[in-house]
Amino acid sequence: MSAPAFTRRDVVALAGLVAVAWLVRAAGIATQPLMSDDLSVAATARAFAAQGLPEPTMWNHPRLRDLLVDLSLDAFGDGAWGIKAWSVLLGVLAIPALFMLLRRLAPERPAVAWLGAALLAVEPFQVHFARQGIQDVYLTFFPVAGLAAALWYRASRAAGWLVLSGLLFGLGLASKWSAGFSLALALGLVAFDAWRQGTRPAQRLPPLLFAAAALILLPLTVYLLTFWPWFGRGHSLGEWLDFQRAMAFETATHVGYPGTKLPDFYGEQVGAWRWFLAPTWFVDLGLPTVGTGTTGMTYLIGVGNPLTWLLVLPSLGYAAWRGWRRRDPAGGLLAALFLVNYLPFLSPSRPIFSNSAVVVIPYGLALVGYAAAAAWPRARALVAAWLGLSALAAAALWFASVGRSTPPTTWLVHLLVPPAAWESKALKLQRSGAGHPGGAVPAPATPAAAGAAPAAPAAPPSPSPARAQEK
Amino acid sequence: MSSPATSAPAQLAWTGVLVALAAAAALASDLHGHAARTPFTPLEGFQGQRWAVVGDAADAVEAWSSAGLRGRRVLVATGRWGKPVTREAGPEAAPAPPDDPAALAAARAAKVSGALFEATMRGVARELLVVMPDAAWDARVEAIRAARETTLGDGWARQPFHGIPRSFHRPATVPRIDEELLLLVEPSFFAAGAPADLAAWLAARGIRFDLALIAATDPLATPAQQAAAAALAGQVGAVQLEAAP
Repeated sequence: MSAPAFTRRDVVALAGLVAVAWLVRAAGIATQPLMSDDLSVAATARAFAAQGLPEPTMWNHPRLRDLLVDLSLDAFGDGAWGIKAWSVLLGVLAIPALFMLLRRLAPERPAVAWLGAALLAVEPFQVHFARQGIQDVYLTFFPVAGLAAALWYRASRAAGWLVLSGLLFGLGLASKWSAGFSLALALGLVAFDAWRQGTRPAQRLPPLLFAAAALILLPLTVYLLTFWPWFGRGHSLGEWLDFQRAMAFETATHVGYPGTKLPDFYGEQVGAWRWFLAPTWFVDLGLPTVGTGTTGMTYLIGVGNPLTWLLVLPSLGYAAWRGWRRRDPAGGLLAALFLVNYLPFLSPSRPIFSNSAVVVIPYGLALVGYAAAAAWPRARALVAAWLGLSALAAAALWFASVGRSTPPTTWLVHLLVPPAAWESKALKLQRSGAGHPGGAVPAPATPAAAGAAPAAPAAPPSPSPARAQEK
Repeated sequence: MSSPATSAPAQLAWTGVLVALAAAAALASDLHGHAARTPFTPLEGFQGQRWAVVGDAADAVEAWSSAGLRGRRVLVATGRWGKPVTREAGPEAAPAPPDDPAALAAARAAKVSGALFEATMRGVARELLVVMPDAAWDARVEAIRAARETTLGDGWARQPFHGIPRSFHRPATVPRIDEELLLLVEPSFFAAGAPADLAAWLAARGIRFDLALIAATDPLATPAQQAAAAALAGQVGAVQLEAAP
């Protein structure tokens, strides 16, 4: 595997891509209405950092988000930037991380990296999650960057890359456990290399031990340390293991938070099998929030760009075919990366909500970039037209994810997102009482345009949803 | 980063460093946890006593908090199970008007009902072990039997809440714990199936505690049970604790 060459032009172009990514993730974020999740994220960050208490929301997930958000709340105050700064930052850093991963995977074909990174830079679904406090978007950076570092280690054998990889995977695991899918693949690749490195145990053992230390022990160490405040509640290491078991049980049997358990709930699409076969969305409601000038609820709708998402599975087939028949390692590895990250979500044991798709998006778009780069020499006009249309669709859907309306946005959102999804989200708030101490959210009418939503009392969410669930 | 390939000895050295780092992190976390457990330091007036009487479970939580207790296992001997009430009726709601006895009583009942939950949220209790007389235990098991987190055993049940360990026991199944506990006794515990002499039972089971609080009343307590609690207080020479305002 030859090392990819970077020119000054590459650096400038990548900086430009990062600037675009920053713009679409950060523009207007201070005035975008906060969601009840955002306020719960802030409350949980404070409770965890100060008291080690993983409440009021998402106790069953790892805790890196709490530690980071606590820092950004200190730095930027308790407004949008305090809550979302890390999501924006890591959502943007995902673009150079994917670029570096793809440059390493296909060093002779820079177009793969450019296309993959460009598609991710303007992907409205990833943008949607980069503009809110929850940590799903962290997984578009940490595991991707961890994989890139692991691949750099495979090529250079310089230990620093593998240590960096372990560190990044540790932060990924401390964001959400699904970072473990990529970690398992990286470990398999590095261990395979180590095994092939010699024929005698003395030759194999040092690189194998180092791989295990860097990609198992180091991530676990980072993960463990993010629970430091929790240990401050008097817990021992044995109790921490019990807590991990409880988290695993909850995560494996999780059927939704209050409101999403309703039988007719439809606002957060369920079923990972849909993601690349049909339009994928996640409907959120922005609360009327002091300082943003909003007086009613605002729909914030993340929709995957259908012109790229619907090409993921054909691209997967193409990459797998190239990997198998043409012995193209880039195609084979990209297909494996996608499958390793996607297949676990197809497990039917519990509902998988569409926010989990964020983990898979970088690998899906990498596949599309790979296929488009291959098609470019033979069908330039077609690829250029598709790219142009994709950019237009991404622009229209961006407005939906930030709660604004334009005629193309309205048309496209109504084409892709069924009205039941809009109605369910508002009904969820109304029935669960989340966001409203009295539970008094008026029933909505189907909105006429993206961004329009029913008015509601201007009240902060309850910081204690746990109380409603206690048995 | 364009450093040369790492040699085998260097890889082993890196491995050693990472193993040491992992071991240090695990040890430090465990020590941090143990160090965070605060034992009870008897206040002036306790005269060496470890038993005290409080008004109710909510007073007990206040007493634990004001004594600076944190990270403790709490054994609760009770004949009832209270849960937090919804926010609009709960303790965080607007205070009840002082001239409305019914509203004051409702607010107090809500506080007592959510007292043990409050103790876990405040970090006083890191684990709740609840010992119940027969009828109360049967009712509790029926209430939690269907919950997915519940594990049922012979005379005991575990039902963690958001990862916080909680277990419910008949007196015969209370485990021996190699740690000093906080103890709370509510009058409703004194019913069929409860040990006739609680203090002797605690000693016989090897249950050690550094502070035992006897609630003078609880929402289900009958006058006879309150009298039994008072008798226990007299038997062990419990001091009276005034609730913080």
